[in-house]
Amino acid sequence: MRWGLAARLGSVLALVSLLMAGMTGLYAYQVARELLVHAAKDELMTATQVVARRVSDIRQEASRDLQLLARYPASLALLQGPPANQAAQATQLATLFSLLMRDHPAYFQMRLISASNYGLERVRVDRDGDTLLRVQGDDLQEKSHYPYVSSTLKLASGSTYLSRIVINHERGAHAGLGQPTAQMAAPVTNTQGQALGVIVINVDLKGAFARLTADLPPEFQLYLANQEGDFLIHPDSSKTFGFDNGQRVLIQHEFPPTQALVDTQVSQLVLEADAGVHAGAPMVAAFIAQKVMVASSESKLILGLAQPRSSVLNRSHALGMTILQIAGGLALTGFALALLLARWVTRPLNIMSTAVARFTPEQLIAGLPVHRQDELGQLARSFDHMQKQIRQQFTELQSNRQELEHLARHDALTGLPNRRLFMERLENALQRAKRTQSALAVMFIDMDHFKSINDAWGHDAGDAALQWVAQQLLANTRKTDTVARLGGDEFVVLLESPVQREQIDSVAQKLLDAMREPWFYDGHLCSIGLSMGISMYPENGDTADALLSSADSAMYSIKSASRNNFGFAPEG
Amino acid sequence: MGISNPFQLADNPWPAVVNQLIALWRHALGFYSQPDESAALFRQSGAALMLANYGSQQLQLLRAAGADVGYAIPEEGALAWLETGAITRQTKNTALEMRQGLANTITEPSQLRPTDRLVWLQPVEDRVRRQELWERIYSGDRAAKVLAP
Repeated sequence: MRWGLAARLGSVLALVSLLMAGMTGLYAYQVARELLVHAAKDELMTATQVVARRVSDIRQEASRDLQLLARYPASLALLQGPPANQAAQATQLATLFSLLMRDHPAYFQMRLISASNYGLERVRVDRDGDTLLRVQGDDLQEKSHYPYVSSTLKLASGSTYLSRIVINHERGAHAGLGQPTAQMAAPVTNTQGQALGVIVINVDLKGAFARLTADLPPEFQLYLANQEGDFLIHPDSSKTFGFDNGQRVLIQHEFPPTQALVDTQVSQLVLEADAGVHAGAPMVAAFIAQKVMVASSESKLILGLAQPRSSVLNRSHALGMTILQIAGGLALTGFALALLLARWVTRPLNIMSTAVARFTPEQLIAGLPVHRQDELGQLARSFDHMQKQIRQQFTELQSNRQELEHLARHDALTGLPNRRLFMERLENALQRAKRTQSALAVMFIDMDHFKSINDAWGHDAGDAALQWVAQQLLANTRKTDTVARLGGDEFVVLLESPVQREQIDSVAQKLLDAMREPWFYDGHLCSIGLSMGISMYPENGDTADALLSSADSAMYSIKSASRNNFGFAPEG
Repeated sequence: MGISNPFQLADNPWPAVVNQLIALWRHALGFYSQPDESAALFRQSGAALMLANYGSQQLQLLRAAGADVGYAIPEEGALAWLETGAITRQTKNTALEMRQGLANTITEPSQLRPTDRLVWLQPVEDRVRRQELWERIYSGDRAAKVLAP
């Protein structure tokens, strides 16, 4: 296959346009994808912050409930008042506890615990399935060695305590038994500021977080870890509370960058997990280390939300498709434009090449786009200029050639045909005569006393005499006859048919008579005579040379006899 | 309490044992489950005495935290058990060994005196029952409730 300029130019331009569209599309996709991932990470971090805020809200709400109960007169009265009223006060408190627990599904248990009697529970309401259960009598337990009692008793009035988040192993805890639990507590103090007991709320960690994250997209995964990094909440529940059975399953092992959170170097971070257990399904995760602001054995909690990277990138796939379509459209447009451009450039070139191919010196090229203002117009104008020059030079060459040809076949002095042209014409005439079986005659003419003219008045006079003779010969012969100068003072006349002897006689006589006209050179009358020998075809030969030499011989005979006369070559 | 073999109790000493445990329990400030936790509890509560059931591991932690502590075996003796574990030469995660800080069983610990009495753990008469009783005591149940069937 031959690739024309249009095809090559078109394909190069099309390739460039494809390449540009492709590169632009790719670059746009990468940038947009990065922005999307970045935005998704920001969103994830925001969602994590929202969840953290809600956790904080829950804690604050529990704190408010605790403070309310700690200041509730029946609480203190029950702890220090006379035993007579205690049963009624306990019932009153138990009712209050039940009401609050009904409002707060995340409360597992609410208690009033006395500082005396080794931390004996005085009022206790447990959640047991869907019902609330008041625990009484021998089922009440002593809790003084639990930090939520011993530590809270040391706190000032109005403070709140948060326990470590552990699996609740306290027997008889009903719904809360074996569940991840945080205890929140506040001291109940008398007017002297002495803590007589504590109000404790057991918070259901799992339930609280399940409600918190219920409105998050289902692919979101929630993580919670304590200050050391032990998982408290993990999508795989077997990884939570590892320390409860003597193991450590730590967040910094699963997500190594979170070591910085555990070490309190940063307070929040976003990471991409694609190693270890996440190698198969890489995750994007945001973590926040939240300081526990109340008195607590937990100094901080690490909260995290994770989302599969694929769900983040899904959005960029849609974007990629859009960009692909735009790039494809651009590439097609570029392709079409490239073809049009190639055609637009090569069409005038093709016109010019066709026009130039038709160029001949005789015919000027038409249809060149000389009026265009661009490079192609310039090229066309150059072509036009060139062809005009070529044509002019060709014309000059032609006329020079014609001139040379004329010079080669004519006598320069008289303008008569020279020997060469004469011989050609004689040959041609002979051919015709032979074909038509007609006759022709050759007159060989020599000037008499030419030398004496030269000698008397110089060569110019001789030349002038030759020119005058030539004129006279021409003037007294037919147009169809040929008068030629053979050289020196020798002339020859070819008479073509019809030629009869009498006619030839009269022509010869007419020529001799013409010489008798007076001719002056430089004021001198010069007398010029001619000696003529005449040969005939077919009588005196059938070749040019034979005819010429016969005429020549006849002329010499005249010259030696009488001069200024004519005679025929003898037949035979 | 005059019990010759504390790992195999007959039926009659149980109430006395439970009462004794509850009495001991009532005087305890707190309990811990992790060595780190024990060190924090010891320091935060200004404790004077701690049963260091993780042994030298806790001693190391407390000293690292700046506590002026000694390690002694009581006259009555201390329960002892041996957990064995080995780390292969090719192991990559040497952090495990360092993290646990466990005592080396090849060399004699410096805290032990030749006169110290170590009581090696033995199988008990009813593991499930003992665990149940302890969980009840630990949860704060009183004697009547602890001994209930």
